[in-house]
Amino acid sequence: MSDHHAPQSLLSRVFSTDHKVIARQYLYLGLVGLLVAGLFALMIRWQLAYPGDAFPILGNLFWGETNGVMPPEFYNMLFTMHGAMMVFFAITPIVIGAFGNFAIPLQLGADDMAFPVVNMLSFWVMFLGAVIMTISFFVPGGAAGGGWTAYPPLSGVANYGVGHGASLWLLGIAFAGTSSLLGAVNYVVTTLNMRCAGMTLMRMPLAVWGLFCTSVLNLLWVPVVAAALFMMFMDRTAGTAFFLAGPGSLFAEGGALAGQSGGQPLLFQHLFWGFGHPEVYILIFPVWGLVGDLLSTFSRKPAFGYKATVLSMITILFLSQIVWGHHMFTSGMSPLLGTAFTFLTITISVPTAIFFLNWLCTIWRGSLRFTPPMLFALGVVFVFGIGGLTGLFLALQALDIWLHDTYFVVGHFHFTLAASVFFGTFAGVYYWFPKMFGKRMNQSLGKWHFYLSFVSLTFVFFMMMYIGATGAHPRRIADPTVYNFLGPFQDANVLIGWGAQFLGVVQLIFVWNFFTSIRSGEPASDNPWEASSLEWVAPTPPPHGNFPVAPTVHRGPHEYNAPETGERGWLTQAEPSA
Amino acid sequence: MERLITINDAVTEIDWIFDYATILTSCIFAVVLAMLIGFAIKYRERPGHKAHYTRGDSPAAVRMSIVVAMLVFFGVDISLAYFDHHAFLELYGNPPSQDEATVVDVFAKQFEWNFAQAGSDGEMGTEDDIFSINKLTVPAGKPVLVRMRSLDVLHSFFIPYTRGKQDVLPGMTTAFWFDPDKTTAAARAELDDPNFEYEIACAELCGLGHTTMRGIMTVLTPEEFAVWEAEESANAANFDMPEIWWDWSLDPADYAEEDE
Repeated sequence: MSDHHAPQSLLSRVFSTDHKVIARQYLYLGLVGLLVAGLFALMIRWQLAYPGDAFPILGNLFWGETNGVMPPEFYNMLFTMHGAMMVFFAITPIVIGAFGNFAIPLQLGADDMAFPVVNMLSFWVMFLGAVIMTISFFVPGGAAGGGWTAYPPLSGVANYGVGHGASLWLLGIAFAGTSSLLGAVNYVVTTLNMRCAGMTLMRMPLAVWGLFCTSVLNLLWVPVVAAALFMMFMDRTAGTAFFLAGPGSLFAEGGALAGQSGGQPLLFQHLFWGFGHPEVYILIFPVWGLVGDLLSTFSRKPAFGYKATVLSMITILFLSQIVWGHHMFTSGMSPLLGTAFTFLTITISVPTAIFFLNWLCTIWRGSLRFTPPMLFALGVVFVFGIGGLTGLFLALQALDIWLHDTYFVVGHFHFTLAASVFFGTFAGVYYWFPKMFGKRMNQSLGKWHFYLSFVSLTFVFFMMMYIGATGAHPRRIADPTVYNFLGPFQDANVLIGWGAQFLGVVQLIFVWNFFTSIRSGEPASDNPWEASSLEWVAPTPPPHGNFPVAPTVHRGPHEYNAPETGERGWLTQAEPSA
Repeated sequence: MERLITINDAVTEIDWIFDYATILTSCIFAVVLAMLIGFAIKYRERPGHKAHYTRGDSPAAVRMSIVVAMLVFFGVDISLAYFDHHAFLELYGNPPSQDEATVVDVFAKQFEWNFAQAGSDGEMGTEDDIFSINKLTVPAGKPVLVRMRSLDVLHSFFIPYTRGKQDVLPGMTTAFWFDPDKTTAAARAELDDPNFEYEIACAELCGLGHTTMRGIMTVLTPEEFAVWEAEESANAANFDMPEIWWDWSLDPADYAEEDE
């Protein structure tokens, strides 16, 4: 399937079909996306902390006519692009693109992905999408400003104040979606067909299970959102009216949108959240899987209830597709549907509880090694605990009608998605870095990075939930001082603002550690973590084709301290028992 | 920081459910946290300590998983859903009829709330209709029924003191209702804040001016309202309403039938 010639020219190195090179390309793209979208978040929080004040640096450069105060259209662009770039150009390329590409073939004992050229294409299609997103800032009217959810009619036609950047935005997301589809086909086929001898499905590391379930959901739901975005693109550019409804002067005879009516704005929300809710699990499954593996490896114990964990993940895979309506309780959808969606949504807590139970029982009676990947994995259990439990609030129809569109929602999904995936990202990077680059990262800096990130991130998102639930602080407003009822909460906004800046500064520890380790980190051995999955059997860094001799698997992925492992306490999956 | 006041006692049920869910989930999280921290300390790697080998797939482990699943499903999920559904039916299951309610028609557009009320004659679409922008005046003591339509993009009609909100869409009519038991004057007395106003916010992003799409609702006693209504009706400007504004395709009462 893959050719085994070592890449030679610069061109063949850039357009490499080697899954490890593509994984690194995805990692770099994702980290840059994380940096840019993270800076947007810091700007958002600064604006909310000091609305009406001149914005530092940017104010002097761009907004002379408003005395340096950030104009609301720019604020709308900021949170729109923050959300979209985090989801599609930071989280997706890192936890799916980079981790999937690196881990799946190596952990399955394969020489590469099933379709290496498709794999290369999937990266470059996403790269193009990122380029288009970047360009969208520089077209007349600026980038998209209709929220990452891009509800029509606001995002559906240019006349409502969201400029041509939104058309480019739709294209950019479509490219990211295409990339996800190409990747998903590869992941599914590789997982099903390329496993080495002895690697049964139930001997796969949980990370591969997570990526596999993610890919199945991607295959099912990316086409749906792609269709919705294409329909909206047609509304914007070709005069269709899939999501546009009158009345209004724009639609009257002689109006700019005359004849462009009769569609249904709610339809978009159904299509978007039909994809959007599975998307949450698309992004979190790889992290859940990885966390299961890491807790096991660094507790020197098998993952507790491996089969139950896999079964829970598959259950959630199914349930996640029939709960999208809990995003739409106030949308005008029938209240009767709302009751059904409430019930379906809260049942997800059952398989999720099994996940937590198994994680906690994995570290129970273990022998815990607090390496940076382990700390970040434990951090995921903490933040996803908060995120999952607050999800219950928002699943409840009557309560959600109160909390919807407030900062409680923002805090909740940042715990669920942002914090969990953020920690999952670093857990994976610290864990696989030695295999990826052949060097060790500085462990003490890694721990400091964790502790400081953990404190500031928990504070920031917890405060968001607090001002949302207590003060009904609406999201997506550029200036909270407009409302009297938010007066008592402005101090909280200032605290969140400084907490966020601190969180941003703390990430410099990681940036420093990452680059100095690549340049001059101490050389890594083949298996620095004494882990048993197959990537640690391959040479460091793995050559093109990965394994000099195709491995044969003799046991499950985490048989630490099994009787057969003897005094050493561990054997890789490829070592026959003594 | 204190919670926002409520406009009547019934909606405090939402606050009650929030508190109930908070206590319930906090207990669960406390258990998770205690295990997380306890195990991290007790089972840290140290000389002479070896991990206990178990795969966690014994019948006992499976039984434990089933017990936890049952506890979560019946103890947490079902109890939350029960109270929530009860509150939902109480607050939103029984819309007032147009005869018994103060009917307010809302036409939302970028970036203002347009309110229309029937005026003294009690009929919409007549010359004494009262129109106002971003200022809503209603009497206490009987339910307010708000019928809403958007003239451009999505908006969301949000009065935090009612603990509820409802999106406003072009092309379809949505409705929202609440009992304004507490007049603005009573709320001012309760809060000891002479400048307090009930604020109306737009909760759904609607464009550049979204932040400033703010309205004020004044709740008067029925007597004060009658005086206000007569005055405003007498001075009603002959506002030229486009015919299409009155084309209410969905009667809010339909919601009641759907929900039975």
